[in-house]
Amino acid sequence: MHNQSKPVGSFQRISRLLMLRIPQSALLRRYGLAVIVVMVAVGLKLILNLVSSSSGASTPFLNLFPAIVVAAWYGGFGPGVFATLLGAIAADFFFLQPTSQLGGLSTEDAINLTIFVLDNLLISLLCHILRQAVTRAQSQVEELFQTDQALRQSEERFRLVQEATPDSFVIQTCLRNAQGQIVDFTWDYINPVTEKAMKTTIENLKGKSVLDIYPTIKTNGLFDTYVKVVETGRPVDMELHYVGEGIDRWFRNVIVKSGDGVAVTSLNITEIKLAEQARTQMLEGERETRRKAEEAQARLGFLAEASRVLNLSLDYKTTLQSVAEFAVPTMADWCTVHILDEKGYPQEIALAHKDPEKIAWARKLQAELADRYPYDPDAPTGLPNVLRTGQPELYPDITDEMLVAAAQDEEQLRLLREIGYSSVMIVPLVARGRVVGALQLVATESGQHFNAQDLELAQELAQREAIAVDNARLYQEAQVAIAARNEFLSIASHELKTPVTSLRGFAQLLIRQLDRQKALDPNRVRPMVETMEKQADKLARLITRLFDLSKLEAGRLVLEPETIDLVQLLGDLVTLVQTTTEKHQLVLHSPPVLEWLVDPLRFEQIIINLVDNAIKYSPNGGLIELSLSTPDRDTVCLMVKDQGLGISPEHRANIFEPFYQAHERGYAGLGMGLYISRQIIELHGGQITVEFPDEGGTCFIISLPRNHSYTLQPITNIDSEKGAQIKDEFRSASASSR
Amino acid sequence: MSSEVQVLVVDDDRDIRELIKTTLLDEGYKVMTAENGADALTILNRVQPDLILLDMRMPIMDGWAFSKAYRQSYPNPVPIVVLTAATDAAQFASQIKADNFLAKPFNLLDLLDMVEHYV
Repeated sequence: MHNQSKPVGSFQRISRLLMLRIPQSALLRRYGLAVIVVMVAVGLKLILNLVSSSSGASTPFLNLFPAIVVAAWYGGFGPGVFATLLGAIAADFFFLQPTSQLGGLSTEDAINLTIFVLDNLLISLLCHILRQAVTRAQSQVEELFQTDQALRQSEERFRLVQEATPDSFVIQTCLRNAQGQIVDFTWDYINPVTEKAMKTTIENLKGKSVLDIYPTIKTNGLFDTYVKVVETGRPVDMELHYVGEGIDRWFRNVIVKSGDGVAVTSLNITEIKLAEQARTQMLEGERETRRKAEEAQARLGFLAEASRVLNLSLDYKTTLQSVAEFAVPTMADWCTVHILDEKGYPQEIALAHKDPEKIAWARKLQAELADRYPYDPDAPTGLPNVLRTGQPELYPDITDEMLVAAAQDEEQLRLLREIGYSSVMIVPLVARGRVVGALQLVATESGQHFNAQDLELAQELAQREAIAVDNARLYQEAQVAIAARNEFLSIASHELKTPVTSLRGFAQLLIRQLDRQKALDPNRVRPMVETMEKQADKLARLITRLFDLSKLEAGRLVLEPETIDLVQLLGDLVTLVQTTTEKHQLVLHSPPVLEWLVDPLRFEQIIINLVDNAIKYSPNGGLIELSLSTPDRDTVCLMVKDQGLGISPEHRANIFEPFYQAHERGYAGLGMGLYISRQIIELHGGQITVEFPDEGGTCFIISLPRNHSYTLQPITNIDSEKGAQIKDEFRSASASSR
Repeated sequence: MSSEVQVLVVDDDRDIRELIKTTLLDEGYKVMTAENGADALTILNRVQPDLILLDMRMPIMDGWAFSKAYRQSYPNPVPIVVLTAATDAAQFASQIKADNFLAKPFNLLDLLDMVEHYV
């Protein structure tokens, strides 16, 4: 205790002595005290009586009063009564007549003794009461004193805390208007930290308006919170992002009611908050990154699966159907794939619907729409536009207004509404820079709305589909080409083997006859050798023709034109061919002379081919007429007409195509004669046509212009002969496979 | 060689018909020739050969059609040997249930062996 160390004054010592009290429980000490004080009082009276024996008898109770007071003061009411009784007995025994015995008192003494007892009982009682009152007052004073101490201590601590704390602590008092509403707060206290932060002192601030300095609290809700705390008395612990008055910080505010005002502790948690935000952002970022990674993975997985399906087979129709089915419902409710046909019209190759039962419905709707509203390749939007421009279209949200705008009439609008579009993507399938088709993804009942990311995925898918379609087409073309090539090789080999059979056979026959007869009959030998020569010629011609074909395909067939008499050439040819057939009669109608600029060898080749065909396809013989004429000055015309089988109408369009054989396979030939003939005639600047007279047979008509400028080197950009040769072979290989 | 043995040669190539005819005549066979299946059937109306040498690819009536018609009209057909320049000679032969085949260009001795074998 703080006053223990202070010097104790004599008054205090006395008062403390006075205030001593024997505890209530120490009965022996309290009653012992009563016995002792009575004995002391009696002893002192006896000594006094010895000193003045005369006066003692008149005051028998003289000393007893203080003794009883002491006993009652220190011992309480009980010991006071006890001392009174003891004092009465002692007075009777020692001082009242007759002394040295009890009783036998005079009436006056008896009355005095009784009064003595009663007085002292009263004194004891009063002492007791007084003592208790004093004790109570004392303890109250003590208590007050201690409270004061505690208060001082608490204030001291508070001061220390406020000086030492890094938190801001302010006390503000309500400022109320006449109606008692809180309109502002005034500064009551701010701790040193706050003083430092506000660059002022509480002395300057005291009683001033809070809103004047911090108007923002009115808008950011802090003011209302203060009011609420004042009105409810319930403390509030809140976090606040304070932006205003040049402050941009996060605070944790603990607001408690303090009188008619608030005490606010503010902790600056800006750094914690920023760190938290950074962490949250980082987590968000990580989550986003992961989400993106997962999405990317899902997309890749989807595309990988699509690629796998696409690569399963080279039959792209089946493949696209599986991809379409695969695309729903992952990507859309409804998926179609259109592929452009040879005429440039889209053909629906694949159709898939999320709900397989709706496929028939979808087809029916499509058919209805297609029936009523024919495909318009120049339409400004939709499938035609995508196919035309190669640019994708994305309709994230198809509204009814859009349908109304797109529909040509009520019926179409009804059908469009029945489909129930919510979003559409149309993506072109582009292979090697060419649009080959389009992928359409439609969202209907799912209510999905495609976004740029979906479009990207659709384009990736479309790219893969386009490659698959292209691959499949290339493969199919290659297959057709390979088949055609094999067919051609098989025919070519057949055609080449036929003359070789004769050549070899006659050679062997000659050897055999020579071996047998040692000498040969010239009359027998001659026709055989002539046949061999003829067959060797045929073989050579076939080989030339094969080579011509390769040259033609490579664009390297070069004419060697010279002016010759066509009549002479045709006459010789007719004579020669006539020797090979007895059934047919060859006739030439011509002017006597007709000179023209042609490549004589090529021209002869064409005519032989035509006449050979005429013979071959007139198995029953007949007339074969060649008519040469000049319908005008600059044109020469040659007709080759037979009375043969003719060509059935379904084959007529194709007879000038390479390897095309209008007749059944029994007729020997490579199917390239007319093709080569036409090419050569075109190189001469002319043309060849065919007519089929009503009376039967076939009539080929060749017309050649007079002044055709022959390009001698059709191919000029080849450096070395070898390079050209390699290209030649390559081209003929690819050409003949067509 | 018995002069009774008759061979029918069916081929659209005149020179090959001539070659086979000359060869077989030299060996003492009797030879008839036809340009196509239809011709051959006409000849068969008059004469029954002991062996038919048949080309497959011919105009008007090819080997397949001839073989079918021949087997329908004649319950006891004579052996048929296919002569063809096609690469699928064996396949063609089995298609028309021919007894044998020779691929063109054939060796003359093989032809003679073949004929000898079936007569």
